[in-house]
Amino acid sequence: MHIPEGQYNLKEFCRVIFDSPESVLEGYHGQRIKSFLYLSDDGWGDYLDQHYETENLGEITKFVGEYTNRKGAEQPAKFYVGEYKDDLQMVLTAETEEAIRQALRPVSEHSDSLSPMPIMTEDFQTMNEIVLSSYDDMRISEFKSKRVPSLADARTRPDVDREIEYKGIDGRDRLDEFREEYGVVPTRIQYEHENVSIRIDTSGKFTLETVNQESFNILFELLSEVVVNVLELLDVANQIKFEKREVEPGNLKIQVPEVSSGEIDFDHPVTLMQAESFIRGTKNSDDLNFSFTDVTKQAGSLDFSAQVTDENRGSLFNVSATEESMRIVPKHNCSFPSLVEFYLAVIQMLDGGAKMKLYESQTAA
Amino acid sequence: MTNVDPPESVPEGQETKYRGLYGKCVHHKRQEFPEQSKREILREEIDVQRHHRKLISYSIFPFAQGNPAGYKFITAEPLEELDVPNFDFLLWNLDGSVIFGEAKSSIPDSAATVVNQLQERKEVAENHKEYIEQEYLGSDINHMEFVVSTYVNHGDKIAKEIIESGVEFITWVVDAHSDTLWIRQARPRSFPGNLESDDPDAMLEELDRRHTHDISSLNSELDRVTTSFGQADVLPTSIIVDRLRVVVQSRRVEDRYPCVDRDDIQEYVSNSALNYTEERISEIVDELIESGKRLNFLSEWDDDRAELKIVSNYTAKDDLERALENKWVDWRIEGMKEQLRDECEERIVAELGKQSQLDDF
Repeated sequence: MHIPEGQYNLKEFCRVIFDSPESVLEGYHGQRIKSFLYLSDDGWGDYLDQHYETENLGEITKFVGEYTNRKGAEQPAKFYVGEYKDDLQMVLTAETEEAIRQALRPVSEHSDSLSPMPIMTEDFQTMNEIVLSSYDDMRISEFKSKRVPSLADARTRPDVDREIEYKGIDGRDRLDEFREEYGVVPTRIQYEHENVSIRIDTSGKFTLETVNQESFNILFELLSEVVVNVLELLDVANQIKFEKREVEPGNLKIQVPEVSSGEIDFDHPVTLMQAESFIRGTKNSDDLNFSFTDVTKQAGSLDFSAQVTDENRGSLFNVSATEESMRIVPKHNCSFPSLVEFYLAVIQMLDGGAKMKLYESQTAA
Repeated sequence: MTNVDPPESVPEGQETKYRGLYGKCVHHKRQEFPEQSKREILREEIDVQRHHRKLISYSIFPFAQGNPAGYKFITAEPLEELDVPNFDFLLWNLDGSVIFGEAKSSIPDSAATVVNQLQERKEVAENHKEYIEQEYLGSDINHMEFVVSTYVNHGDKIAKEIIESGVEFITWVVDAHSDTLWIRQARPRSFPGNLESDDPDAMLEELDRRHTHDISSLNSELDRVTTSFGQADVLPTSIIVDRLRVVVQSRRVEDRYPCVDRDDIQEYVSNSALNYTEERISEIVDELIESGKRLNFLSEWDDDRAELKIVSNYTAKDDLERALENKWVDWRIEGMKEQLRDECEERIVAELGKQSQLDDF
């Protein structure tokens, strides 16, 4: 993006983009803007400074990374970040997917103070409803949807875990139809309208195919809808920790553990097969770098436990799961980005309706 | 086998004969050696260890996450440094009450042997009361209780045996399928023969008294409480392959080489172990590194990137644990074969000895 020098806040910055998209996007092959949301914690700015060339444009920070383009040449990739809200940063860019993969993804990959913002499946449905109710004639040209039992009943074989990708100009009707028939709800949608074309997905990425005020308005309206739940998730993740407290009840100093665990409640009973395919899925994923060791698994009702390492950040936590829930017991360097990313993996690959909360010791029913 | 050096006890001139007989013996023993089934047994051993560690973990989790009736988890394997029979975990309410706990992931048919073992450990702990006060707690113990924790399917067997033998142990059971821990559920389903009363209500009361804690709030807080796997990483007396998981956990990857510094291991161990002294942690780390080298799982790395390299064909993260297990199994099998060779050596030497004595006549 070519942004004239100046001092901006996030709103002014967006205005510059949609007021003069021709000059901002000049020279970019794809005439679109992508927006990524990141949960953040103190120190994220320093982290950015350490890894990128940065420049302050008022409340907006420009950061430049390098990537290798398809012809093998090194090229700069430009990104702009501004605070949408405390602990929530918005990154805007016009770079290609390849540049984003090489230069932007590492921004959070190894950081203890930044993680991609996930959107819970339920919030995503609300976002969709907002768009559709605001625009009667909004078309859906493409979507991906998956089975989430708590959000939709299915007429046809409700037990089947399914994922449907659809392309066609009549997506809006098909979305409802598939939902009723197969109980699937969307996790990625491409909207088309006279003036607006935008694409949203549950990993917190928004693609504005049309760069105008209307697209930005939609983006901000949708964000305001999910922000409460997302910040609550951050709060939960921040509280999951392992500490040793020193006490001196007698004449010796003793360490006692203070563990605050997390719990992911499943929306539907999880089977061993699903748990195994989740592990495989995280292994094969390009985005995730979790490894599972010390795995104990037994079929019947699910008895599954493992030590999980976030290889990028070196954090460690243990998980143990029953059919209903998965407990997360933090061990080492367990910062919120590892936990948020793990939760995102769970809702994307294991159970779209799963909720993460703090574990409270409870007497079982 | 001809290049084998006969031991010195083999009389001069008998070397060739020794080599021949020895070669035959080794060949024969090797053919008979049930390698496959031995490997399977070793794999089971790893599994048993994992279940044992997991059970300890489940048993102490409520005391790491919270503090039922004021009790906190203090340390795994108290007294292990003294080389005496020890318990798996120690809980303390920071006041005057302690609980020693032993985890048994399975109970043999003759549950009496387990009870005897428990009894022995209990005596050891009681004899070391002062030592524990001085070295572990820094204050006096005025109440001691003992717990055996087991998986739910073994609970009845051991609880019954404990109550019949009159040993004072409280049984906890863990249901890993539902991640819960129970106390009252572990009550035996039939009355043992040694209850003093004949009145069923009184019998029940007595039974309850024997297998629940003196502090009633502990009983209610712990009964059917949800629990989890996650604590108890470092157990100094478990089998080495289980302990070496620590190395897998603390390793890092440099240019696709899994490697580790002594400091990495030290940090992991000291973060995972509660209330071990610095010296003890250093010893544990030394032992880990030495054993790792012995298994050819670790080797010195003459490189700036790290002190030690993990020897593995895998660079992939998850397979290091499998590589470790394979190496340990190979190493144990090699040890067994070594023993076959020693047995042959001994036998042939003895045989040659007899023959030479015959020749003397």
